[in-house]
Amino acid sequence: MESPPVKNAAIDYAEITRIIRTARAEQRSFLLAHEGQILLKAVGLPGPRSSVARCIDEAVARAEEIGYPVVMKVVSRDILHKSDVGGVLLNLENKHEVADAYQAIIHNCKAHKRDAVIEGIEVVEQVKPGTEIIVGAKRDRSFGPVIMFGLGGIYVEVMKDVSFRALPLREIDTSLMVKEIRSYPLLLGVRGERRKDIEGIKDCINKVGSILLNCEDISDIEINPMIVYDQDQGVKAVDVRVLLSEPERKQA
Amino acid sequence: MNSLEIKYLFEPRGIAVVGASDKPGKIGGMILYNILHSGYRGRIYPVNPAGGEIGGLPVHRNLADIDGVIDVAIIAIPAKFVFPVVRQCADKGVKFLSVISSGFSEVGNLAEEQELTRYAKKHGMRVLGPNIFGHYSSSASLNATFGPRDIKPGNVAIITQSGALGVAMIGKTAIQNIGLSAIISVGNKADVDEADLLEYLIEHDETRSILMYIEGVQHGERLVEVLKRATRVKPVVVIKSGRSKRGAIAAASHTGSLAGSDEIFDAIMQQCGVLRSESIQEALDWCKFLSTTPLPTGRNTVIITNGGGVGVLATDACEKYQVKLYEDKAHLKSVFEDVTHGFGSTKNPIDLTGEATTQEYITALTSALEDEQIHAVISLYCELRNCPHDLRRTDRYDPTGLFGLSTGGQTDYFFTVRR
Repeated sequence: MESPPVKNAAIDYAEITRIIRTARAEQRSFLLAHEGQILLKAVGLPGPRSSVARCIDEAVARAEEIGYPVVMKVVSRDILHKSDVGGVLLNLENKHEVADAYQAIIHNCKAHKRDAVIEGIEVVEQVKPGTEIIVGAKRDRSFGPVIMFGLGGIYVEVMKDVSFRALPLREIDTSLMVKEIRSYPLLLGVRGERRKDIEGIKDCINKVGSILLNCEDISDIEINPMIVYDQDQGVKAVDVRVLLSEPERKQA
Repeated sequence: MNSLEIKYLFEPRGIAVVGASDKPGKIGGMILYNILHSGYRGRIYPVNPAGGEIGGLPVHRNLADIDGVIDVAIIAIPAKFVFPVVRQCADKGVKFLSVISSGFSEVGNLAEEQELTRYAKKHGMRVLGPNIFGHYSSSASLNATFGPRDIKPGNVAIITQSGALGVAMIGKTAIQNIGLSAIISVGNKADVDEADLLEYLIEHDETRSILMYIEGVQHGERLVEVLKRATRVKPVVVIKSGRSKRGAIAAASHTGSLAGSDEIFDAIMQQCGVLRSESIQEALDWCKFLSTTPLPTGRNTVIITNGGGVGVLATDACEKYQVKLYEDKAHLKSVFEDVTHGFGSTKNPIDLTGEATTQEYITALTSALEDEQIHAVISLYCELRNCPHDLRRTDRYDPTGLFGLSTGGQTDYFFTVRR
């Protein structure tokens, strides 16, 4: 019996169109980090919670809402490599650490560049460790939209343990592309570990596929890493990279 | 293009051979003689400005002089003379141009190839090629290639992007006694591509398996759609050319860098249900096997052998490729105990031992093929005495799969000619 096609995910395309329009207006061929987060939200893929604070009290309040530990990052157009100048601090466990971190980041950044304009400090949920995966899709010159899945980190870097499919997917394709990677047993749980949230992975694959099929403006999209937790505990998209199609290509 | 239309390429009512010549070594002449030799029953019109007569047929000075339907015009003249002939073909209402000539996009002359294709399309003609060795169709007894003259009709269809490799495959199939239902050289694929040809082959009853040699894919989304339909009806084997990552586009993401053209090609072929083979020989073996052997009705497989060693090798291979060996010891014993000798075994693999006679082999195979619990049989035979020619009698026990493997000169020869 023929496997049914994957249903189109409920995606807020109007929102995606809006951020793409902004990027196009600024003559960018990619989305910025916070635009990527907006896209994830529009797709219904959970990312780390975050909020920008403009004073110490606000930073503490945001951290209390998000829950510890948190990460704090400077928001400034004048500072490109945030980590290098001490503009990013990790593992902040309580409100005292958050308050200290706020001051330390401002101090570090000013020391690096005296006249840097600092718009605020972003307080971000520090994602709990889990199994890292990567889900990407792009437009292949021969086959059109294709999608890739693999385990992240060393598995994708060294082992190149990934699977591909042409879009659109049937339900069975999504299942098979998860199962056919060599490290699939790791997702089932080995050495006493619990089974990972495979349904969450499939949902992510289907959604990324839907985006590429429905948004002609997007040429490449890659969620890397995506953290997968135990079964029913969900997934969390840590970073997303989105490239836009060449405008003339779209007209062709 | 629908399959009705593409049918004219495979089953033309009339053929013009432009560039037909009696001069030795002329491609047009080789093609004409191949057509004459192959027993094509449609009308054949040699065309050459020199006129005269070739192979008992009058040579027309141009296409306009021909009084009759031409479905396929084979054009085997230097590239620079092709376009004027294409114009004549348009006036004549030709449906397919088989452009044998080289000297187009493969040497950088893309503009002329595109102009030719555009013109042909505008005038309702399709273009096979250019830069091809032609095509063969068993349904029309038509060998319109400049390759080997004798092509054995059969059930394997070949579509090849490489001309030389295609000609080599014709030779290989002849030696290995593999019959062909069609072979088509697609060359530069200016117009007609694999998907168009598959439309015909899907519905072509004589074609039971399809072999494709592909180097590059242009309209991948359509190919995927057609391949998915094709593999539901008959097996398709693809030889992937050994393209390196050279063609992969350097990209800003893992998806880009990992998605070398080859990895994507592999994955998509698998998604379409296409079998990927690593070599010509493997592809031909699969096609031969798939076109002569029915699909087993279940997974229970039994190995019958007269030697322990080959039995173990086959068992290892079954495990590796997840072929399920039937294990019901009591049932196996009831089926095979009459034919196994004292040192033999009724456990799978069934070892008939070196003592086994032809009659015992036949009994064992017959019992296995007739048994409802057994869905496929792997028959192994190490040549110890004379070749058991009578084994061919087991052919009638379809649809249980019988996969034969044998070692020894006589036996190899026997199995080769039998198929």
